[in-house]
Amino acid sequence: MLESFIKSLAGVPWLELLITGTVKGSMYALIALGYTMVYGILQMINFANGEIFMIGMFATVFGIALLSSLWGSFAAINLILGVVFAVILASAYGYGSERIAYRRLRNAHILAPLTSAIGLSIVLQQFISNVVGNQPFTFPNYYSDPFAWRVVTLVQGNPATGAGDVGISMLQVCILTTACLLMTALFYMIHCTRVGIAMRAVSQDRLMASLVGIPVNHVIAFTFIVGSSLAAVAGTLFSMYTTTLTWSAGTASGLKAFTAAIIGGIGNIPGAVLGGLLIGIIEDFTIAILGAQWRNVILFAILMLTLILRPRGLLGERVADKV
Amino acid sequence: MSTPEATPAPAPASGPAPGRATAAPWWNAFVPFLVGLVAVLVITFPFIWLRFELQPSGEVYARWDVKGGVDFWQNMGPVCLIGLGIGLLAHAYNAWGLQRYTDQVWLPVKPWTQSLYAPLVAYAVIVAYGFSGHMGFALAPSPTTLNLGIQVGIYMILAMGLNIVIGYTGLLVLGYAGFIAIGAYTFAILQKPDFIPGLPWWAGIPIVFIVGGAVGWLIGLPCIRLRGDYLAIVTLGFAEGVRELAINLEVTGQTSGILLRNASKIGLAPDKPTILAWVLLLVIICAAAIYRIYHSPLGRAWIAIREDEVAAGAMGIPVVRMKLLSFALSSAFAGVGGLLIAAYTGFVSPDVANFNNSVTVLAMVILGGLGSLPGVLLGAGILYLLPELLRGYVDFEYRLMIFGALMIIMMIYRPQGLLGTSRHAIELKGG
Amino acid sequence: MSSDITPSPSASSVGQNVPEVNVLEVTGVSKTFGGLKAVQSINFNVAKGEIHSVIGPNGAGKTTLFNCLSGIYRPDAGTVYFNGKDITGMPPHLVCKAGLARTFQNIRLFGEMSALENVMAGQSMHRSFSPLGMLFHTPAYQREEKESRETARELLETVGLAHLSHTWARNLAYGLQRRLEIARALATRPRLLLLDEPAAGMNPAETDNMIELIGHLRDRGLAIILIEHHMKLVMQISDHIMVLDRGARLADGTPEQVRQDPKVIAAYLGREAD
Ligand SMILES: Nc1ncnc2c1ncn2[C@@H]1O[C@H](COP(=O)(O)OP(=O)(O)OP(=O)(O)O)[C@@H](O)[C@H]1O
Ligand SMILES: [Mg+2]
Repeated sequence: MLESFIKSLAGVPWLELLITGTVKGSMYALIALGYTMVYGILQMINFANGEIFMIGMFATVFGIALLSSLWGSFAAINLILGVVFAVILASAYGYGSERIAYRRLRNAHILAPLTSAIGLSIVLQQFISNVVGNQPFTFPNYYSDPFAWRVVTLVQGNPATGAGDVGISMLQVCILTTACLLMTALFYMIHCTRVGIAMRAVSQDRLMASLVGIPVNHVIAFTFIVGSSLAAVAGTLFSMYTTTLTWSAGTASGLKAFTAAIIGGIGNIPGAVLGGLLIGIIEDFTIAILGAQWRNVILFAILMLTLILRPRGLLGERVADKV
Repeated sequence: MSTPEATPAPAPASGPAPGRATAAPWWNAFVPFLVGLVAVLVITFPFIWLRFELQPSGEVYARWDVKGGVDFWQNMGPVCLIGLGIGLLAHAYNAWGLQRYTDQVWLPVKPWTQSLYAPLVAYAVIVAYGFSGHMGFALAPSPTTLNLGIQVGIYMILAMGLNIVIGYTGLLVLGYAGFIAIGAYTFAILQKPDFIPGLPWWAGIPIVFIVGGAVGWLIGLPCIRLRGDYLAIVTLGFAEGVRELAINLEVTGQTSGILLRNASKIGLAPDKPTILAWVLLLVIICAAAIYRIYHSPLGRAWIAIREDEVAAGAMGIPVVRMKLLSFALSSAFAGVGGLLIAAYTGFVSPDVANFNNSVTVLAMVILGGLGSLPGVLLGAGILYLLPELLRGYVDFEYRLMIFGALMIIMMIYRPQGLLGTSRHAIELKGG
Repeated sequence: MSSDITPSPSASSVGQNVPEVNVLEVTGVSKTFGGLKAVQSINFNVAKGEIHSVIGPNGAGKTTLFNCLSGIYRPDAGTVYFNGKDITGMPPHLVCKAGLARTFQNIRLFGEMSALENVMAGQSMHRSFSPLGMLFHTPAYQREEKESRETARELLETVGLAHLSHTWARNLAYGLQRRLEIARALATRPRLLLLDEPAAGMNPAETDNMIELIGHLRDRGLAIILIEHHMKLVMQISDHIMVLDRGARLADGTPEQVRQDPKVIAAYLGREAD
């Protein structure tokens, strides 16, 4: 039993897994950023962020479909505008969810916004499942095929068949670049712009921030919009990468992204990125070594371990509740 | 075209028109609703009224789907009406001062005879009605009705169990279905020939109660100290983990689940009134037990923790141990509910651990009223019957969406639930 | 005379033999939050039956000191001995079990429990949680419940809340809530009571009542540590006063000594006074 396990370890294509895991992890990180930003500012878990990610997936395809029907299938333009469409729509959903489900519950007992968030994520998920359909769709490969070519080959496998090759595809490069760009932009925004300063002020002390003239409601709404936009972009990338869209992707990826946020230290932005990458890599290794059916069990075990050993996460700080 | 009313008074001598500058038009109050409605219509537009069509070439085109859109809004009609109704009721409750009658005084415990009297009478009446079919009573319940009654009964036990941990102790558990599955699978595995062959369902109850409680205790042990929202997620992950384990493991029959042997089913003959009588008896026993615990020092400690954890600790209440106890007790009741589901349907599959199941029970507790025993029973009844009542108006698939919407509406307008106390409401206003 | 509050025979006998025995001995307790030294190596002792006041400007670290004593914060350094037992860094419920009860500056009652039930929740520690008793209401359980209810009533009477025993705590007037907190703390049968600004926000008449109540508690043999900004109250009833400023002990002594200490005057009136 153990021997066969070790044997299977030896055959693991670790370089390939590292690459695919990093790519997946960077998308989880984008979702995790939404969780962590909202948590930082409101101390609540925006459960629906995973569903916004899923809505972003579908919105991209709807956007592309609309544009194709309008002026024809221009791959690059339609794809880019489709992403823009998804970002706008997802932002609207994010803003709307803050407005409808959370704003009135800001000062309520911790159970209230959390319950409302769960309700919201059920509504969104069931909405898509009922209206768009509950069977998986494939991403239109007319738009993803141009990214399929290999940029570099790191390990040469069998030259005749190409089996055993390890390389990086254009899509993977694009995903990593996009994620890096977005994260850098987010960093810059939070640390160097007025709105970023306002966000940090609101997360420190909402009342005081409002007293010095920061429009707290707008800042919070803006946080939701940014988080949703990141999730939407992650949705597009994810659906291109896995080539499928399903109504249940939000819960699955949302749970992973949330675990990532906790592992990194919730409320901590570099932590979310680190956690996302870790989760992505661990997931791919689990699938390769133990099989895909074990990945949620492992995920849960990791979540539990983190919470037991280091409840504030890898990069989080310990805070004492004021009594 | 300009109207004379709209032009401002030309001469200062006539004075400003009284109230014109300050009084808002009557429709001002509706503006946010209208704006919200329009916004919702706009952002849901593509999903509802459009379809995308994948071409074999990999391209994708959009087309109008008028029928789908009309269908959706037809389904949403009754739901919107229900939401509106709850909103109006909540408004009436606050505006007409009805809360005066409910939340001023916490009455001392009534003598126990009084508290058992009404449920027992109700039980006798319902069971007699259930059996009346055997005596040829014309208005006797149909098998469908009886089936509904049995299901409601099982869900009442589950909701009461969940209420212990959410309503009394104030911990949010999102993976209740995981504990239900633990109960169902434990029973199903134990009655297999290689363990305890032909375990009768009633003998499984104490076993499942203990196993469920032990699992709850083990899961709670590391994470009960966490903030409430972390606990919610951990339990959610736990339920997912249980489902996946059930799918993967040999002993749980993988995806096909476990078929129960006949000896382990409730009622060997498919005699629904008897099953109903058994299930309702269990409901009453559980309700009585939980009622008594609620009014004991243990219940007081739980509520104290819910109200203020720090103060409870400083008053000598071992917060962690008490929370664990409520968590374990709640999962023990989940185990019993799971056993009943298994023994009634004669079959266990990984679907028991579905998130949907957790949500259903959670919605029952929230709708009826966090921390209120009658409220929770009412919630279970309503939520189980609501989809039946809406049958014909609303597709069955919209059930969960309605539950989700109900959760949001309840949190915003009436966080204490239909019959609950108004703890959350006050915190809302007080800030 | 003190039997209803301090039931433990060993403690009271120790008190009789050695009148100067210390209930609480605090040495070098410190607590920092990030870079802020909220409490810096504080030493003090509290004798049995003594009212020991802690005063100081806002943010001096008085509440933080209380939190360190009652186990809500774990002190970064130092030890707390209570009745000769080391309670440093114990969880709050064990500290309470050892006989140290407290009230909170920002009132922390169990809002949706009646006044009576608040007090009864304070008795949890002394109740047996037997499942059989709870489920079947055995005679022993019923007796215990009845006794606990009566004791709770008496405590409510002591603080003057008997007529409101079925009102929800959050519906009580502010001054009454402070009294209810004291009753709830007394229900744990403490030997040392920590009161965090019990007279804050009270009018003169209510303050006089509070002075009377605290005096009454001391007469029942309870040691009390009192944080208070109300100088009349502090000067009138304290046996010993400690002044904190910026986390450190500034002065220490009887009310007379403290009143005349120039450092204290400077701390309260501003730096330019020295
Ligand atoms: N949990 C905490 N985290 C960070 N800083 C804290 C915390 N608790 C207290 N402080 C800081 O420690 C300092 C001392 O606070 P503390 O509440 O003990 O003062 P205090 O003497 O009770 O003041 P007051 O008279 O206003 O009640 C303050 O500057 C406060 O902001
Ligand atoms: Mg203070």
